[in-house]
Amino acid sequence: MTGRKWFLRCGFWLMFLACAGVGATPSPTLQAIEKSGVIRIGVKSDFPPFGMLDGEGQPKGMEIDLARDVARRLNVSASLVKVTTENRLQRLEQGAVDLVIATTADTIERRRIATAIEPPYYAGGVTVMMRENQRIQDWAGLRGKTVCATQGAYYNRPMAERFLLDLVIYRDTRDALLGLRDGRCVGYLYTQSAIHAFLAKEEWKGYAAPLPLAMVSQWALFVSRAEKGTAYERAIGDIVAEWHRSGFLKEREAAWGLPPSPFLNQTQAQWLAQDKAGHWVCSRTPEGEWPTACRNTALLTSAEATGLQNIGLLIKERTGIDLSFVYDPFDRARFFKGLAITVVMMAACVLASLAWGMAWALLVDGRVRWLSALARLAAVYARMTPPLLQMYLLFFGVGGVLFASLGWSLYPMAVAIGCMSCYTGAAIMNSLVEAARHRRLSNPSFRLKTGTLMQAALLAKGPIMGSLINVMKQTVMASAIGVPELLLVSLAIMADQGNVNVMMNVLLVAYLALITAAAALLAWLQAWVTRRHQGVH
Amino acid sequence: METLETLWTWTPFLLQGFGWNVLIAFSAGLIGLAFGVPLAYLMRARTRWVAGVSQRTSGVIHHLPTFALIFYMAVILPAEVSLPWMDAPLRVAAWFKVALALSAMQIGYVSENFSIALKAWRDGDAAKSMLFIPGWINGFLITAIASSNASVVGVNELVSRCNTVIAATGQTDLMIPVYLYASLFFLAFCFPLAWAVGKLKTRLAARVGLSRPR
Repeated sequence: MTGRKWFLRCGFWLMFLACAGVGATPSPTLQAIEKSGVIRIGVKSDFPPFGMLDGEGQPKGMEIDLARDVARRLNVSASLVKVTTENRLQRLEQGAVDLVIATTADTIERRRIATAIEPPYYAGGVTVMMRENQRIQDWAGLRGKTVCATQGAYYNRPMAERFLLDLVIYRDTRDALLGLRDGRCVGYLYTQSAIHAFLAKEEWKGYAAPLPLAMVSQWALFVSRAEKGTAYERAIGDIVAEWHRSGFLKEREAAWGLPPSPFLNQTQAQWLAQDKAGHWVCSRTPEGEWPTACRNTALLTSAEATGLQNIGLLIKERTGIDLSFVYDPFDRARFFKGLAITVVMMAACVLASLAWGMAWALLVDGRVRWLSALARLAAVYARMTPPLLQMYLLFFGVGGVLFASLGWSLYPMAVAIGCMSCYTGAAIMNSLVEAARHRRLSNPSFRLKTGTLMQAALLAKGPIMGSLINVMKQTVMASAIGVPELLLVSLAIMADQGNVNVMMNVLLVAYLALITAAAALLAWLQAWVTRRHQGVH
Repeated sequence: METLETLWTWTPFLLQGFGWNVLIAFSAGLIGLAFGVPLAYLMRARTRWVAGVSQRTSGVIHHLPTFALIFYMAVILPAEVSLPWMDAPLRVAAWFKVALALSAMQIGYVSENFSIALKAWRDGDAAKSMLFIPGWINGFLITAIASSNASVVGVNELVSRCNTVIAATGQTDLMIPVYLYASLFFLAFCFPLAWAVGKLKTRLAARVGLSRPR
């Protein structure tokens, strides 16, 4: 290193440490590290490729690289200390290590006994290893399917609950893998890093892990509890932020043969975002904290948040009811988007069903020879086959052909509205035609025409209202072909947050409120139309 | 031709699946009767508040979306329940959870229609109260069609088996024929019933002397 370079680097780190020190209390740990010139870092030796031993018994792995980089950036040397899952946070508390980089997931419980460094540096989770060509691309595709799992894994129960998996539990990994090989299950549920290691082996050729990570937990560096808010915590946090911004983590991930994780991409984008003035959006506040938008809201306490976030977190702390769509901006955005889509779908389905039903009734009662007969036949088919099947037929069947031959893709929402209003339109047509038949008892020349349609509609208003309320309830079905309405977003939120019961109850109450309100609105409209019509005649 | 042969090969498999649909629909229908009829009696109770509360309940049940309720039951209900008089815990099968979810719709129909029938009966109009029967069968048909929704929570019924067949044969061009074929199962089951209901209703209506469209 040339003198000039050394000088620049020293200057940079002095500035860096000075900045990091803003709003922070001095740290005895940092002083001790600087004095001794050594930082003691706890790492794992049994978790490839994050922390393992090489042929000579020396530690290596992605986390070892991170540990060395921390020391380099602090301008001290690294002393690596072997820790285990059981003792890693204890070693911190005892003062045996200054920092822990040991695949430690950041949880509220752990934050009570140690200080998690924000931002997190990696994310682990579970996935499913299965034969290739299974045509299962998402977790919904595994509902009700038999999946192998290992006894005692903490994620077995939540995964079975959130994704409706039928788990067969094996005593150990070996047995579960054999179960998978012998076809006793469609896949093996296990941690992503371990599955990745299996897939690298020759014996598991032809197997893959195509599903996105579930039960994602973010991994954090940890310092001792006493270091919360000190210059030391800030300095380490700034280093991790710099790792994200510079792409160092992504580069190390690739170097150790890990598949590119969406977490690193998202976090990098988040930490590289700049405001109009060209400052990082995620930069320290005057108090030295990261802005709440750059933190994991699920791990915040109400004291750390304001406004809606504060209310949502308070409810969670006091009652245990996890309304993540109140305190988490991401969940809130998707929940209300789902709500909006549901409202739009309801309105569109009601209008389309009425239009379909009236047009159909005119055609059937109009006696246009074979056309009327055909319309009647089509209505029987529409009314007596499940709308779900019609949606699959149109979206996957016809949609697939259209895409293959013409390159067109169908809008799932349009398909859903079309199919559901077709089913309901047929029922409305039936009511109208029956009303017309009833009219003919007193007036044999009565025919459904544009002028007389209203009379029939008023006569059949009861059944028509029933059909319309039904179609509004049916809009939920659009989730089956991927329309992100309320049910689908609620399933996504509960899969990410684990607040299964809360989301399910919220969902039901939300639908009940929506449909009750919509039914009242429809009844009011119907009364208004009736009054106007009677006024005319 | 080849397609027809494939469909023929898979017919027993698909038929078995349809058996689940019928079972789910019948169970839901029975549960609906078991709870709907007492609710209807309560709705016609002489005590004012009892009638009011039951009518509210019936209304709420009527407004619950079935599809969401299927997920609700599948997620919230435990996979096993232990009953005090049984040694081993009782497994709550997925199809039964769906039947429970669908029975809500049935309870809604039954309580509403049966309370109308009850009033007619008390008013001495026995024939009109008989109109409950075609009404119930109509509700049952809607439930039978809705039983296809069980596929989304992994019950191995007809629609779910269609997807299995498509995946197993690996032929994407089989999709349209298989789904169409499956829809014929529902048509073949529902059409005769619906036709019979139509006849029954006309005859009953003639006896009542009113053929008000319903």
